[in-house]
Amino acid sequence: MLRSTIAPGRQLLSAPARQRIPSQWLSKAGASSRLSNQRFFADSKPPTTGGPTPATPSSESTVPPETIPKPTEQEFKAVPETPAPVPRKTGRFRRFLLYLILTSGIAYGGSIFMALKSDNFHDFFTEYIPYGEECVLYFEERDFYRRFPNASRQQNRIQGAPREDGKSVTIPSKSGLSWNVAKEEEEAGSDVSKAGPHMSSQAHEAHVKTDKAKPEERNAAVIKAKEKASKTTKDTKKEDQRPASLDEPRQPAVAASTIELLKTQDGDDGLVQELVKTFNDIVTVISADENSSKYSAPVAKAKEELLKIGEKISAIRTEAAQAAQEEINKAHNTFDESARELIRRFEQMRETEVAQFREEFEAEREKLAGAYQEKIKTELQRAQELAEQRLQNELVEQAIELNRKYVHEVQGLVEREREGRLSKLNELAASITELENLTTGWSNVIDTNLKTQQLQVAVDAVRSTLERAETPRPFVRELVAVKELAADDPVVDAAIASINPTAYQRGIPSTSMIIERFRRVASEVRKASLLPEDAGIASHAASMVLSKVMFKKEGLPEGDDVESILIRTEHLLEEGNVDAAAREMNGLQGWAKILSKDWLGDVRRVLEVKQALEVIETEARLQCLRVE
Amino acid sequence: MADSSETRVARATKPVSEALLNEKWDRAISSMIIKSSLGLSFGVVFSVLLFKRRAWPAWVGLGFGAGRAWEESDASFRRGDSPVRDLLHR
Repeated sequence: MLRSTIAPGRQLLSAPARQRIPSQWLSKAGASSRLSNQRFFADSKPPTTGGPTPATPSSESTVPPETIPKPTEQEFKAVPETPAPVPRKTGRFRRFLLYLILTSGIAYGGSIFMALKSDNFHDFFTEYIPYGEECVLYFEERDFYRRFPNASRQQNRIQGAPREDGKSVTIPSKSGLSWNVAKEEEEAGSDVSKAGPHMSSQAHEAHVKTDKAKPEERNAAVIKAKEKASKTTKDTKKEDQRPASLDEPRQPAVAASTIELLKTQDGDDGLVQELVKTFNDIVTVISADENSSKYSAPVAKAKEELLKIGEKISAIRTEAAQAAQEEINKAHNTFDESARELIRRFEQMRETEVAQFREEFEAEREKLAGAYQEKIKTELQRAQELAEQRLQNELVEQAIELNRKYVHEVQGLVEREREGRLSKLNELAASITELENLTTGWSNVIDTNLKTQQLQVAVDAVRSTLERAETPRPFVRELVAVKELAADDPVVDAAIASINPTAYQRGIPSTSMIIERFRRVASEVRKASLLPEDAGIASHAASMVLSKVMFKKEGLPEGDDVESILIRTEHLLEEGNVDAAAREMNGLQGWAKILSKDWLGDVRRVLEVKQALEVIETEARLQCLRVE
Repeated sequence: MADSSETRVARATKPVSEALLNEKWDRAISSMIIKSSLGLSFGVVFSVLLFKRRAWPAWVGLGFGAGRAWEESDASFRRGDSPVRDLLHR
């Protein structure tokens, strides 16, 4: 009954919790679907709900297959409650966080290890990585403690020792050195500023006064004794009170009152007081005793005696003081007298000294005056000397000036004379140089004349060789001679350069040879005179045949045809005008021109040579003319 | 002496310009003779060997030779002033 009542409640309680728990667990784990579906090696094999297992086809398992997947069903229910992308996100983020932490941890660990190993990395790590220094320090400390386990304990012991003693060491204020000798002495007036025996002449009196003023301090022992006495008295009083109150009623209080204490006057001396005190002590002792009454009479006597002694002592003291006073007065008088004497002596001494000093001063002044006068005299003398010297110098300068002027004048005169004669001499020299120039000019003229003559001779030689030759002959030697004689005359050089080298290497034909050759050329040209522009063998044959039967022209025909040109050239050649003949022949065209080409070249060379020679000749002539 | 040297030089280099046509004529005639005779002889040989001594192969050969020579000389005349040379030397 009870169970049955509780069971649903339990279910009710557990159901939401269960529902929540798996969902959380799954979300933490990550992909819930994967977990629910996939099986890993670590997982136990899920029971096959669908069909019978191959091992046990007759499924004798105690747990029915329907009961097991219940939690999974609940999970499936729980999963859709939470939206699907959220756990993924958190899961990713968490994984990222995990990785981050892991990597940072590894990095930190590695870097700490490195830092412990290498100093360089240690510096870098502690300086730039946050919390790096702390980490490294912690590890170093751990290492240190591991290596020296006793180090910390020892440290504690050392630190603990003073703690256990507890008391802090305090230095007393009076310890050590100080400027004052002792406190009592200071109190007594050893200070220099305070009044003391060293300050006043009346030391003794002061001493007495101080004694009177501070009797308690002077007689500290006495006071102590008094105190003791008072204490004892107090004690006795207490004792008196006590027996009265409690236990001891034995001692009578009457004894103290029997003997009166000796009273001392204030003005009495210390000695007397001391005596009185001792006596009082004795009296108190006696009075403390039981048998005080016995001693009362002698004590009274002694008291009287003591009083007498005290009076005597005071009298003696007063007497002594009076005597001392008198002595002091006497001493004062004697001191005064001696002081007066001293003053007088001093004055005398001073007067004498003043007189002496005055005398000395006078003497010194006279001396100084004399010295100054001497100085002035010497200075005056020197000034005079200087003035004289200056005057003399001026005189000498004037003399020098005069001399110089005189010398200048003389020099000027002499030079004027000399220039007069020298100028004539210069003129003579100039005329002589002119004459010399003239003579040299004449010699130059002669030289150039000679040169030109030689040049002309050389040119003549060339011309003669050209004209005399039956056959063309090279005339290189003659030309070389001409060139040498010309001695790099630009005109001659240019003329020679204008000649075709073949002309002087092979020679040039004479005019007669040219005419002869022209005849041959003319016959050939006539043969080809009828040829058209582009003639074959047939036209050549025709022109050859026809030229035989052509008429020859007479006189000076006009026209551009080959026959007339040939005739004109022949005329010109007969006249001797080679130049014009060459020009005529140059007007030919076609085959005629081709046939007459060589002849024309020859004629041109001849003409060139002739022209060059003419140029050279004219140059030589010009030089001759130029000289004169 | 000088004459011989001059002629030698002229022959070695180039014929004189006025003798240019004459030389061409010389060459034309000689080649005409040689080639026509060669053609004739070839024609004769052919007529003897192949054509049973007929006359026309000989004429044909002569014509071939003459025609060849004519062509060559005609070309040389047309070429103008360039000296006549053989085909091998060109």
